[in-house]
Amino acid sequence: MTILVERLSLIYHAGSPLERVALHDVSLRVADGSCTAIVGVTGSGKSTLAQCLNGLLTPTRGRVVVDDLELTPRGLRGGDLRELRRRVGLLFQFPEGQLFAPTIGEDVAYGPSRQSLKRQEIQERVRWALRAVALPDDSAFLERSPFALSGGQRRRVALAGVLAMRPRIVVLDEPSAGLDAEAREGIYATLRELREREGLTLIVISHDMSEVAALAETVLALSDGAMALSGPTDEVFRQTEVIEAVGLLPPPLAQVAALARAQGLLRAEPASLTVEALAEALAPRQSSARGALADGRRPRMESIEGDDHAG
Amino acid sequence: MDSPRAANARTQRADICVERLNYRYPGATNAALSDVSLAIAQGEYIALLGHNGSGKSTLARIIGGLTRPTSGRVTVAGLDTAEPAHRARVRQVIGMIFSDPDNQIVATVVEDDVGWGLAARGFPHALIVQRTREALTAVGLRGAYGRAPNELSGGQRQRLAIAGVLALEPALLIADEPTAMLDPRSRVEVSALLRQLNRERGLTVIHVTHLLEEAAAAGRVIALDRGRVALDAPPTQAFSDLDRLRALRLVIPDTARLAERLRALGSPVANDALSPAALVRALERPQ
Repeated sequence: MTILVERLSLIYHAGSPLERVALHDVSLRVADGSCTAIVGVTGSGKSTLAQCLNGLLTPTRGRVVVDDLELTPRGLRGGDLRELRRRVGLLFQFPEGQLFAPTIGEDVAYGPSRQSLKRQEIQERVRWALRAVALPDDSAFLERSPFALSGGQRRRVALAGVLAMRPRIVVLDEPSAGLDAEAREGIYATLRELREREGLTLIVISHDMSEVAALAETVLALSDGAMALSGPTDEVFRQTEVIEAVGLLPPPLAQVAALARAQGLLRAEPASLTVEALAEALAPRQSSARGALADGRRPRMESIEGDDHAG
Repeated sequence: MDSPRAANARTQRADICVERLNYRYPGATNAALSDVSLAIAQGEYIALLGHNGSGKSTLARIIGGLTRPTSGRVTVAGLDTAEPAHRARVRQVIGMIFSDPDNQIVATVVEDDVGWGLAARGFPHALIVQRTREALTAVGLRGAYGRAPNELSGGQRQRLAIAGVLALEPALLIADEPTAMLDPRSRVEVSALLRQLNRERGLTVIHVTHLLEEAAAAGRVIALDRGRVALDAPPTQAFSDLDRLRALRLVIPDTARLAERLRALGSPVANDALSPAALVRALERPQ
């Protein structure tokens, strides 16, 4: 299942004095099973684009195609909006604020229970979804109140509620915002596993470039509602000046690479923006073993290997 | 109650003394803080590090006088922060900000919000106007006069919350995870502001965080683990052993991992070169 967006424009309050162009002529294609990040500062149109993808907003011009469903200014062709929203799940920003049921089980079951499914099927989905987000699925846990959980766990419950609808595509708006480092890593691991095991297509909306680097292989940057740049994550992050020009902060390693490049400190272009590759490109040419000794420490095995490799 | 004039924090000292502090939340089996003793001098910039549940926020709240210790005591400028009779004085000496600035923004116009604390304490109008201007200038929000706080970005709102605290001229600012809800760019801005206020005004800052990047700017790093002080050292020393920080369940930033790798490969990169610019500067130096 791919998503195709063609020349999409969205104008809020078109024709009124409050008219505002939120998206202008945006085109993109998201491949099946991929993870694409849509980045941009507050007000750049990211969330508007997300809401067009599952029909919460209707385009002013252009179209959104999800398989045989086509969303145009005249409405949806090929099915109903429910079907589009079942296929494209949307996890809003700070979704834990939308938990409402007295128990975790009821909260996660809310979506599927409105899909005229059998009781047992609903229960199976709830347990599957909780397992998918690395939460317990036993009855005692299902009976607990979602409000007694930590922030990271509540966010997982909210994600389980979206997954219980069995979407093929999930759009996540700032999935790790406000979480501590451990909870963040946990959410990343869950999302990676959902891709690998379930083949889910992910679209992550973010202004946190570290989150993007951790999750997505493709990046699209929006600026003032228009596409500012797009491409494979590593390539986009090499263009730190372009990222800064649209008001974003490149990930730390990309900043190091850019500064080092400007100072002529890179011996070669790093193969990727990883610690290993960047260290390789930045380390002194021959002096690694000596340098480590001069540092008062014994050279480690990897530094000797690194030296051989470099030489 | 003390007269407003007594609150001239610029001449105040706020040395902090934490003595054998213990805290247990009501009904909890484990202690949140166990036998914590610390001395913090006026003008220090402390990064209080720790993973979730390490006790760092509890310690910050007790120092700030918001929570009473189970045993032990904290004095700030010689005042026991748990002593009800000292409360008004303690409130003048200590300012606090938290993760969500919206919880402490009370007015509908920026300048009213900054002046609110002073107005509530009965300061004269002319002084409120002057202090508000100074505080907004200090946090880089001079251009925000007349605006509604909800029109500001998250980072700007956090700076507004800081301005509201600064207007009261505290000697100690406790910032409990002040960047947790901000985007990366605003995080950098707010951290830089705290550092600047420490340097330029001599304000003592206790910056509670779980981010090593933010701790690198501090003069001293105190890390808690299971309610005890696990580390108390300057950043260069604290960051010399990343495995130890990993054992404290802290996330090692990519830049620190890169610096560690470069050191192993023979580059003399300092332990506290955690910002991209500092790391590259370290590489530029003649070797």
